[in-house]
Amino acid sequence: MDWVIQTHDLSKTYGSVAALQSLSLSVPPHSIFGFLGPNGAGKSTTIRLLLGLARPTSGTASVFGLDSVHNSEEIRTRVGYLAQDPRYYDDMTARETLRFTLHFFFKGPKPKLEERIEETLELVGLADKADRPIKGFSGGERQRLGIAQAQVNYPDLLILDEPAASLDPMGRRDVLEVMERLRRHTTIFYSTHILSDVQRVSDTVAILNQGRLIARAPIDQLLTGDGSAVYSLVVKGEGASTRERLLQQPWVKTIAVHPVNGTTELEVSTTDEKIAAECLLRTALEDPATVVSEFSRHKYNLEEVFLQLVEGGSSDGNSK
Amino acid sequence: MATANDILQPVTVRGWRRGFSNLLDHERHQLWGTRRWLVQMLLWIVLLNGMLAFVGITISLNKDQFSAADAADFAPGAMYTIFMQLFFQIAAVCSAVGAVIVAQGAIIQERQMGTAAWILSKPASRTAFVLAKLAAYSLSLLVLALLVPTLVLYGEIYLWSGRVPPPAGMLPALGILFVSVFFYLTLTIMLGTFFNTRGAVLGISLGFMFAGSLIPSFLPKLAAFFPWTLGQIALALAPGSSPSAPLPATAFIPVAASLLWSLLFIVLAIWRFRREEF
Repeated sequence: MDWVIQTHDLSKTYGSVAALQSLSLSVPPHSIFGFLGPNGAGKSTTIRLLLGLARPTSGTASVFGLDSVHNSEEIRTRVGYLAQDPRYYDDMTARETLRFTLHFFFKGPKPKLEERIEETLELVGLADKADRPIKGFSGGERQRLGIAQAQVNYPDLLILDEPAASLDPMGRRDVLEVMERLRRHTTIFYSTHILSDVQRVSDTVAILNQGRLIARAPIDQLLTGDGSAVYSLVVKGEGASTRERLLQQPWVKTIAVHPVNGTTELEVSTTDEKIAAECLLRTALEDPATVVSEFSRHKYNLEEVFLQLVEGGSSDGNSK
Repeated sequence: MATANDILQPVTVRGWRRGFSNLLDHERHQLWGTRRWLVQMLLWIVLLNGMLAFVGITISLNKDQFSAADAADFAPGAMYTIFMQLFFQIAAVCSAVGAVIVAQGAIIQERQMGTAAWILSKPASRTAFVLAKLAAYSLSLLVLALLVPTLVLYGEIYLWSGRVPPPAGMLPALGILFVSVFFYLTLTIMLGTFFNTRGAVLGISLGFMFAGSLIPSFLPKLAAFFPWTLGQIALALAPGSSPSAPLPATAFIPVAASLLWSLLFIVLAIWRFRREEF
């Protein structure tokens, strides 16, 4: 596969601080790739290395197969970038900012360039504020302008560093909608710590902690935890006999017990999804005293997976 | 959307010139597209021509009280010389100090504000970033700090002496002043790529400039390799401002040395900025 981004043992050290350690990563084309991690995990450092704004201490990074150190200018010709805390010239208007940006990529014809600017302003909902100086813009408007200036050249790769971090819920929703709209045309690599956003729009995620990659997987795969299927069975009473019965099955790995208001939730982790789907409920009901009030496939949310990985600090086997 | 890029003409320039014209347009617009040029122009006129106007007006108002000897000192021919000397002495100092003040934040401010990182995330070369600033600042200082005040000087001299300096004679003198301005401009921009605070840039540039008022007295040979005497050379070249004989060829060593220093500063600025991490 022709990866859009590929890094190999990419490391960056500032003095004695290792900001990034041996990052090996591949981003497929036309994906929305979520780059997750707590503050200081090394997400922005990685992005700066990809764009040639910083030099790696060791290892390599390539974008579109081009080396990030030696072909940085060529890479930037095909990339749109939104910084975490984007700064522009405050006395310029949104239209002037986009015109200035677009002229790094295209020289004409002028009417078509203006058309592109207008179209981009419409896309991010800034058409009515296009001729106002940026210094009067709210945080949300600045962020929209940030996406506009990143997108105005119709890049093959859009790199967004915390695109929704400073936005209110409506602003975040708008940004995610824009990202979903752009998915058809470009690859999006974005860093964030807002997990619900990632779960909503990403196809693949990588989790970084303390400069190290601790997981990388398609989001569906990551949400299944360690690869085993987990079912939730809610029974009346303490459910001790049901638990004992289930534990005797060779395809049951572990059972976690959570008592809830006179009922008990049994979180059953299994080794064989197919057998579990067919037999789990039947096995539980073999005991006539068992009353099942709920049965469903347990789905982790990304927050659970993220916390488990980051606080656990180790790879879960889904990586790579 | 990807096909929509086909109807646009891509920038084909590659290498160090990539982004230069866009950056230069931007820098020019920052000055000439706003009122900044007007403010700067008025400041330069006040600084460089204000003293001359003050002298001229004072003499005109007190003409009746002069003795015969004093009147000869302020005759039109003498006024011409006084104005030329005053102008070149003031311009030599003020234009150099002005260059340092105007350019002190050229690089640092962009780095601190984060706009440099933004621009360099686009296909623009770091060399183009530095050179666009240098070109724009050079042009603005040449026009606003030297050419416009010179035009005002022509008006002042004509008003009080009834004659004007020949332009062909003025150009070499202004050229020497510009070498001095360019030296301090390149020095300031180069320091801006090495330091993170304006204080350091300002302190070193102005410190070097004022060292020039002491060092030539102790080490006259050293002064020949720096721009400290360029103001005197410009004055000596200015038509009718100095009665002395034509300058010896060795007098131009500081000119050549200053240009070489400027070239070195530009190379160092580009070298350092290309290593900058954002």
